[in-house]
Amino acid sequence: MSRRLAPDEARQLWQDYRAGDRYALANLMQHYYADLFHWGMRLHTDREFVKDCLQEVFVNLWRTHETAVAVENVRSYLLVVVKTRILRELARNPRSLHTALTDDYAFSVEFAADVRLIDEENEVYQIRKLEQVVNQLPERQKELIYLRFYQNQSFEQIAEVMHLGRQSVYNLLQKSLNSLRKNWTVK
Amino acid sequence: MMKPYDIYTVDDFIEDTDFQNWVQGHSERESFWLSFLEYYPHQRVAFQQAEQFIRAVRVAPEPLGEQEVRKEVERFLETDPAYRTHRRAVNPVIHPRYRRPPVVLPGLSRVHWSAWVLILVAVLGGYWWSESPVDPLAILPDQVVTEPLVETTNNTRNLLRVLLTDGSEVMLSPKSELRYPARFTEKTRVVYLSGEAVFAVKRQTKPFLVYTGNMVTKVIGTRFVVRAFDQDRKITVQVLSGKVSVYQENPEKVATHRNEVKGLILTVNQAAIFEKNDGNLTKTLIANPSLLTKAIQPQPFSYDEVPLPVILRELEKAYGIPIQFDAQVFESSKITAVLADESLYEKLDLLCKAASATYEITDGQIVVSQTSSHRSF
Repeated sequence: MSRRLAPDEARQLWQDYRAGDRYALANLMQHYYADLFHWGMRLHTDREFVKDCLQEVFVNLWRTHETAVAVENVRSYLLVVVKTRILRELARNPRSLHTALTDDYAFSVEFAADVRLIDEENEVYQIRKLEQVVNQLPERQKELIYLRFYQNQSFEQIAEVMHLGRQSVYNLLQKSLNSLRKNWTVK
Repeated sequence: MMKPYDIYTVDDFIEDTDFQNWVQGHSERESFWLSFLEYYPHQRVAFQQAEQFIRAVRVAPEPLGEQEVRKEVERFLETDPAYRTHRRAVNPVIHPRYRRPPVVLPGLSRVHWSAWVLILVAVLGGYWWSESPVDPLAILPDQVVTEPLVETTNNTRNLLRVLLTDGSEVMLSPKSELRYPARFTEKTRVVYLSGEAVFAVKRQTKPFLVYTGNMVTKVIGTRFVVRAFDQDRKITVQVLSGKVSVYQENPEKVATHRNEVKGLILTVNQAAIFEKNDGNLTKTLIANPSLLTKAIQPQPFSYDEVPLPVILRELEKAYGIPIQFDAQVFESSKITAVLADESLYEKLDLLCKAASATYEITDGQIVVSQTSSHRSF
């Protein structure tokens, strides 16, 4: 499903939004909604809650369009904004134990290996094994892998979304890859 | 630049976006990666490990219907009525209810467009199509369509998203119908539209053609809107940025005149009108031409005793529209003015009034001349 908005198209829409074009923002919303929703569901698995948070994010973006800053990558900017909003909303709920933007927010993702078009039983087995190991990685590492390979974020962007330094992100990925290495046994 | 595949490690493969895309089934270099191991046999282990990793870290998408997304976008647009006064920005991509039909030229409603190539094709009056239906395949002699056409009709009241196999995306308006091949296997990507749709076309070397009756809109890969309801008689095409070609596809008629297809190349701020009954295709300007770059906008055009030709050249540059005039005649017309928020036409009105001139729009250009009373002197 590569219906993705080109980064320069997105930047143009963002510019139009800042200049007062409400529909440019709605357009961005439409394009990124599925990605942002997926991201939101990783942080809290309540569909209606995530939808409401996304609404608030966009309504708020519109309210502040006159003071909105220029952004290089709209999608990763929105990922950051959505995460901040969701964690803040969760923290506001007295019954939840969440505190906004600490390192111990929950992140849940279930990696599901793609073994279509693979005939060889042994290879399917190996991929399944890898899948298992990835799913057992610590949450932050899973979040990183999710951002890198599902949301296609660069190291810089991941650093921003995860509140980490670029080098830490890189090290964390190395760590994850190392944990997987013993399971790579291509014969 | 060739990447150093020879010394790629597992991590390098994993980090290679093109490799990722290939494993996930949407690479543009399918054959390259398929034959990769023939060229780099020593890389087999790293290659396969990376492939396994990328397959293992797939994540299933959340079940989320297009309807749900549309509903949420509408919900956003409907909140905050205080901001409705700002709604001069009418973007047809979102919802037809908020769009004013871009039908009449040049007295179009004021529309603030994004910087895509945006083509609006509108058709007025219905007899032409309904009484002489053109078989789209018959007007495409070089196009042997082997793929069966898929037909999608939008009977809902909302936009309907149609994904084409080349990655292009079509938002089909209500009461509209799109026919397209299940796969684009030909030299050109051709779709047939009745009604209205917004196209986000994936850039490819294969041109993308939208047939609306016997008018064709051709793009290489960009974003545009085609509006062609049967009840309309006139087709208009507006280009807000980029370049698009519009032509009539009617081989018999054209052949008697010349070999080439009768058509127009439209650039930014230009528009074309196609009369269905006589097949006339004329070039004009869109209703409210926009400045080429936003950067120019904040600074008003401020002039103190500046010759009219200098001002006209500046406007020409700012709007990307050719302005024709006799520089000698207007050299002595000195203008003092501050031009800011006015539309291009308002600016021209002001300037012409000051210089006792008039302007007209011919063939997608603006022609400024002295008023006749003045000329007789």
